[in-house]
Amino acid sequence: MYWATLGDFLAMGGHAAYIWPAFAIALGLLLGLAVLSRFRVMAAEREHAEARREAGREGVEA
Amino acid sequence: MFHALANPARFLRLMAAIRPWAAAVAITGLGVGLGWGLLYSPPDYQQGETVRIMYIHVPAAWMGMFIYGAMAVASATALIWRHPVAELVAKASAPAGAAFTLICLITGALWGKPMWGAWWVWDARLTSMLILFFLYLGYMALWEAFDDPARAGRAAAILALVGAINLPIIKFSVDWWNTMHQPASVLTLAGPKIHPDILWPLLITALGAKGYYVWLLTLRVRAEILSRQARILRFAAATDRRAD
Repeated sequence: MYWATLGDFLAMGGHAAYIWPAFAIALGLLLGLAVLSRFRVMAAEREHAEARREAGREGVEA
Repeated sequence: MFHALANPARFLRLMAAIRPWAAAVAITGLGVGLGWGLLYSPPDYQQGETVRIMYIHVPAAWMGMFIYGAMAVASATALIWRHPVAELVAKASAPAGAAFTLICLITGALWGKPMWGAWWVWDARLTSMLILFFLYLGYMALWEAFDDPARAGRAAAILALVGAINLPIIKFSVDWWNTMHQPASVLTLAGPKIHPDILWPLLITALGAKGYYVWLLTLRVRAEILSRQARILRFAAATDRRAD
């Protein structure tokens, strides 16, 4: 491992204020988009199931 | 193969088969690459520890450009061959591309401040990346601007194709103009110019980012196809009601 202590690792040579936010924002955006996309799929699955039920009542196959 | 993928049900089965593998590549690649970059790789002899921002910034830039290129190819396929799934692939790709481009811009600002003394400079590389981000926003806005999905798809596909001219401008901006941004150091004709201790975690992170994009694409294409099928079912049901 490159770092001697945890303190050195967290300090990032005095550039922690730039490096840690860069990682946090990037991972936060990717995670947020993943969660939103999962919700979007769940909503689409519900919408599709409802449409199938409606179409079924009207005699239309999916 | 090309025509087989025009069948939405077949395409969804393929996406479902790919999804767990893409997730594994994303988690492993991002975990190992970023962990290696933060814990084991050495600092740069000039930029010190700030070079660790590169492990996010560079893969994000590559992905922002790669995804836009993929959207342009999918859009051309949709326009030329009327491939029904291709335009949904392009539409489903846009949020991931916009997210990676935004990450590139933000991490670039966080890297630029300690190195250049400025969060932002209006040089060719930065400005062309900002234009790429606006192209993504415009593309997504066009899909929402029309009630008719067919018209929206055509307009968005044309924007994706016209906007693709920005990709070589981004790539070669550091060669064509004097910029503060460093020239290419990985994707060069002479091969990578950076030390393997820095190159490997960078490439592994980039592979993880590719896996993330493919995983997200499989999810969002599923959502698009199901939504479109639901609209068709509702339209058919409404037509039947009117006929009765």
